[in-house]
Amino acid sequence: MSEKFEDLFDRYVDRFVAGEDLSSCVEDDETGLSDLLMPLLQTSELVAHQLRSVEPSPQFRVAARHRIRNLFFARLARRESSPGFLSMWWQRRWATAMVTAMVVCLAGLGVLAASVNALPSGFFYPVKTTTEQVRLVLTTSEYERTQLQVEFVERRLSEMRSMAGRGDTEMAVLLGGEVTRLVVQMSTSALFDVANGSAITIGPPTTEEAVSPVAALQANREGSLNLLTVLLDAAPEELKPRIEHLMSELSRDFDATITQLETRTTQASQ
Amino acid sequence: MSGEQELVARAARGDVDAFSKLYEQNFDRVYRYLYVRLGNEAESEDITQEVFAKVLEVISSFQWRDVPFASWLFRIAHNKMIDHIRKEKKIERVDSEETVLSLDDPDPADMAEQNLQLEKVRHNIGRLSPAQREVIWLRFGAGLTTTEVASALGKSTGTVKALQYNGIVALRKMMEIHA
Repeated sequence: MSEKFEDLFDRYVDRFVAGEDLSSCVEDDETGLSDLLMPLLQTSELVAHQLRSVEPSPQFRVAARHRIRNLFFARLARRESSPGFLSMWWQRRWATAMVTAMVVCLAGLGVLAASVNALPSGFFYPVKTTTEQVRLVLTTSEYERTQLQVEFVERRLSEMRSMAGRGDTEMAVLLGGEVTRLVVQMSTSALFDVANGSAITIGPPTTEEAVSPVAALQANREGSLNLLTVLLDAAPEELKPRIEHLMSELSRDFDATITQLETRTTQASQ
Repeated sequence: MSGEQELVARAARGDVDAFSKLYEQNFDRVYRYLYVRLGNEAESEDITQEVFAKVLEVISSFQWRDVPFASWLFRIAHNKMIDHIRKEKKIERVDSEETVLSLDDPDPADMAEQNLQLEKVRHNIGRLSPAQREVIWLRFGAGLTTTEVASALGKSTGTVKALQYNGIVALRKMMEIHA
C-alpha cells in the first residue's frame, strides 16, 4: 500500500514541478486516492511553488551567458591551436602515408632518437607520437603490435608522472586517460581470447568527487587494471610476464601521480 | 541516439549552438538548486558560473553509461557547492539550528513576504534527514525526474520515491506543529 502511495505521489510531484496547480492535478485523478493524500499534496504544491519562484536576476543571466560564451571560444581556440599530440595520430588515418614519409626524412636527421624522451610540453613530442603511430601501422605481427602497445602505455605512464611532477595537472589527467585508451585498444587484439574488447567498458568515476583530477586518475587506474587483469588471463603464456610487469608499473605510476596531486592540493589549501 | 545525447555529443565536439542549448536548458535550475541550498544570491551566482565553466572543461570526457546528462551536471553542481562550503569553512547553517522556523516567526528585517515564505520552506527542508533533503532539493529545486535524481545520488528510483514521500510527510508535520 505504502509503495502504491509513493508511486502515485511521485506522479503528482512531477506535475507540481512542471508548474501545475493542485486543483488541476486533483481534477483528473482516477485513483480516488487524492483525498487521502490531500495534506501531502498541499505541502508539495507549496514547496514546489516556493522553490520555483527562485530565479537568477536578468543582469546575472546576461553577464553569465556572456562569460560562458567567451570561455567556450577561448577553449575552442586553445584546442584548435594545438590539435596536437593526442588527437593527431589517431584521428587522421588518411595521413599515414604522409607521416611515414616525414618519419623517414626525420630519421635521417636523428630527430627520432632525440624525440624518444620528449614530454608533451616539448617541441619533439608530436614527432614521438607520430613515430609511435607509424610503428603500429607498419607492424604486421599481432604479437609485436601488442608489445609495442605495452611499450607505449609505459611511455604514457612515465610522461604522466613527469607532468604531474611539473605541476601540470590537466596534462597528467589527459595522459591518464590516454593510458586507458591504449589499454582498451590493446584488448581488441586477436591475441587475447576476449570475445569483444570494446565490450569491456570503463565507466566514469561515480564518487561524489566525480570530476576532480584525482578521481579521474583513480577511475583510469582502476579501469585499466581491471581490463589488464582480464587480458592477463586471456594472454598467450609468453606475453604474461610483460602484462604483469605493466600492471605493476601502472599501479606504481598512477599511485605516485595521485599522491603528487593530493600533496599539491593539501599544500595549496594550507 | 536520443536528442539530448546528440546535443551533448555535438557540444563535446565544440558546437557552440549545442552547448548554448544545454546551457539555456539547465542554467536556471542549476542556479535554483544552489540558491535553495545556500540561500545566498552572490554565492549561488558565483558557483553557477563555476559549474558551467567546469562543464565546458570536462564535457568532452562525458560518456553515456546509463547516466543522464542532468545527473552528471548536478553532481558537478553538488561537488562545486561542497568545495565552496569547505573553502569558506562554512557549515550549512540549517544543520546547526535547533529550531524550525514557523509561520508566526517574526519577520527578519525587511524581508518581503515572498522571500519570507521561501526562507521558511528552505529552513524546514534543512531540518530533514540529509538523504531526504537532498532528494527534495534535486526534485523540487532542480526539477530533476525521479530517474535523474536516482542516478545522481546512486540510489534506486524506489528509494528516491520513498525518501521524497517521507520527506514531504516530515515537512507537513513541521508545518502543522508550527501553524
